[in-house]
Amino acid sequence: MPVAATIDELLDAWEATYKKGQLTLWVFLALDESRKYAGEIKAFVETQTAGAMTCELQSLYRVLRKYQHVGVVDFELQAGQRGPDRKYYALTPLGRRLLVEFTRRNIGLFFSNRIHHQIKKLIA
Amino acid sequence: MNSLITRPLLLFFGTALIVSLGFRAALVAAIASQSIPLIVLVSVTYFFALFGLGLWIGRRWAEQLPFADVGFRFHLAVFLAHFTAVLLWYVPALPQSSDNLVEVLIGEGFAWSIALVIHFGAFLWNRRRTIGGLDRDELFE
Repeated sequence: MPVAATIDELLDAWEATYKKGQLTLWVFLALDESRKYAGEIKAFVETQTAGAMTCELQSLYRVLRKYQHVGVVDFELQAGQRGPDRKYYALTPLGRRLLVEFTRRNIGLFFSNRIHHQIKKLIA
Repeated sequence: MNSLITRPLLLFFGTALIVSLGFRAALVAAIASQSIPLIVLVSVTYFFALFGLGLWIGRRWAEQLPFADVGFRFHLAVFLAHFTAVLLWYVPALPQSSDNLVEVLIGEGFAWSIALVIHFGAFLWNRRRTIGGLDRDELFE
């Protein structure tokens, strides 16, 4: 006999799983648009996902350090308007190539005529 | 600074070297007193001091970059610090205590070297699952 679960419960569970691994894509999209400092990346992620994705600055710095370590992101210091210098992050050529390949292989699937049409019907 | 020899690792090595020299001095005093409990206490304190130090610096390091192979790096650093302390302790007294130095190096170094080699094997094995020392499953979030 099926368990009576609410739509909210199920949605929360699905979204929690779905969001895992999404932060990288949004950070890369933010940096692909233009170089940004951490606060701007955070704002981009939260705005463009309509609040569905949030990230603490501390977590963001941690992932940026990892990306920098493996050579997909780099930064340059630039004087802040007030206060200390800011780190402006940008994708390296390797990072840009990684984003292109990832998008082509994983996100591009949603843009096939059949699936795109189906998704449009779902959200209409 | 490259990713193998990092500032936290050098900090750990330097501190471990100082602790090891302190241990050597305390051990000599304990042996001179011929007190077995004191010798055991000094050795156990030394072990836990280095373990705690490694844990503390390692955790702070992981907040910056969570290297998956940090354990072996710390093991190697403490091995080198320990035997650097042995050499610093005994070499000034050479050649009078050269026999003693060899005994100490063989006595303390043999079993530890085997453990280090085994750990190195595990390090190489686990390295296949890393990119730049970072766990590939935790690289992208």
